[in-house]
Amino acid sequence: MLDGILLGLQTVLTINNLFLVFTGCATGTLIGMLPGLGPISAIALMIPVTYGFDPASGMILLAGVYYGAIFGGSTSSILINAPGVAGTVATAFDGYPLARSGHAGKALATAVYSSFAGGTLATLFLVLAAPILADLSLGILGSGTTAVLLGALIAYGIQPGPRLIVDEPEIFWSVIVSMYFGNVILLILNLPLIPYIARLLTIPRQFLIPMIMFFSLMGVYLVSFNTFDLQMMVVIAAIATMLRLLGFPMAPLLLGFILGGMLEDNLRRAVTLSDGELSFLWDRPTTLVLLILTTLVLLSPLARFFLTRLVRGRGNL
Amino acid sequence: MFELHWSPALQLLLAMSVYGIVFEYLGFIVATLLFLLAGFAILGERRPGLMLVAALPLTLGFWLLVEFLGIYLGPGELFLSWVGADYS
Repeated sequence: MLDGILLGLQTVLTINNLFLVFTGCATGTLIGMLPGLGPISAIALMIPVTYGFDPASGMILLAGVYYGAIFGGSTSSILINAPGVAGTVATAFDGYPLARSGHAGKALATAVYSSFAGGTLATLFLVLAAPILADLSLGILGSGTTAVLLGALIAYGIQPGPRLIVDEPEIFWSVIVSMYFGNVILLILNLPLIPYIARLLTIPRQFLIPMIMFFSLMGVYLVSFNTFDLQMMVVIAAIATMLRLLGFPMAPLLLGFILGGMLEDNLRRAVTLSDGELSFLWDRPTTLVLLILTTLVLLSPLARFFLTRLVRGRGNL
Repeated sequence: MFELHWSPALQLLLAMSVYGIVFEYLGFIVATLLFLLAGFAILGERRPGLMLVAALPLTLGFWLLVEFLGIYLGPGELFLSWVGADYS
């Protein structure tokens, strides 16, 4: 493990690669900040730039873009309540109300500090767990973003998967070490910018709203290059507006959208592994308990509704 | 409480839809400029100079960013036929 870290340090601590970490973080933050553009679009946009780099440098840049974009997404979550990825949905819950009450700077600073703390812890765990979890961390597709990253690896002629850490230790360790440096860069880069970013909110609404719409349109278009998707977006926007008007909370809907896709992917994978049998859902005690807990949680609002009616009914008698 | 201003909301949705329809014909720059100007106007802005100052740098800046990243956003059939280019 120590060898690995030293190998990573050796690769990252060159002027070229440190510059790439910085560029990746800065570009990622900038693109991620735009409402509607998340890490997937940011990486997809940056992949052409990395053609011709050696694989380690390319992955260092793309990894920087990746966590830069996730961090940048916290800005649009806080300022205009438009989280671009699952990771920043929770930021919008707390950050947007803070920004509305005039404490945008405070919310943005908290996001910077927590990103630094979380990123440092995550890197530490990754290093400690790397020998065991290498296949989990780099072998299995967790999301659309990792799929894009793995696609970039394949474009370099490198086989992603459990053997990556053995076959290409330089790439594996330099990406992990660069993530730590990237974290520090995000902190230094973003703290001084907060007052300026918070002032974006002072742009008059009649200018801000069409601009946000334009960025959202581009966020959709730049993923597929298909204008049909823009029409679909308009329809979804109309439906979402109706839901807002009828007082539906947006957070569960967003979580459902983001987690629903992951749930389907993983369910399909599990069903494939078990030869099409669904029995793995209740065969083992762990899955059975999780399933029962989920059912209870789902039914609890219904139960509470009927219980209150029952109690009220008695009271009236 | 969330209240909806029906007329501008519908007009903005319509503007987005029209943007999607004319995007490939007019090309990124013209379509985006028109969309932004229409959006500002729908929301009650009436100062043409200020509208241009807000729309132009955003459109050109975004186009340059995407161009720099090696993504091709078509100039549009209108522009190509105007400069007499053969795009068959």
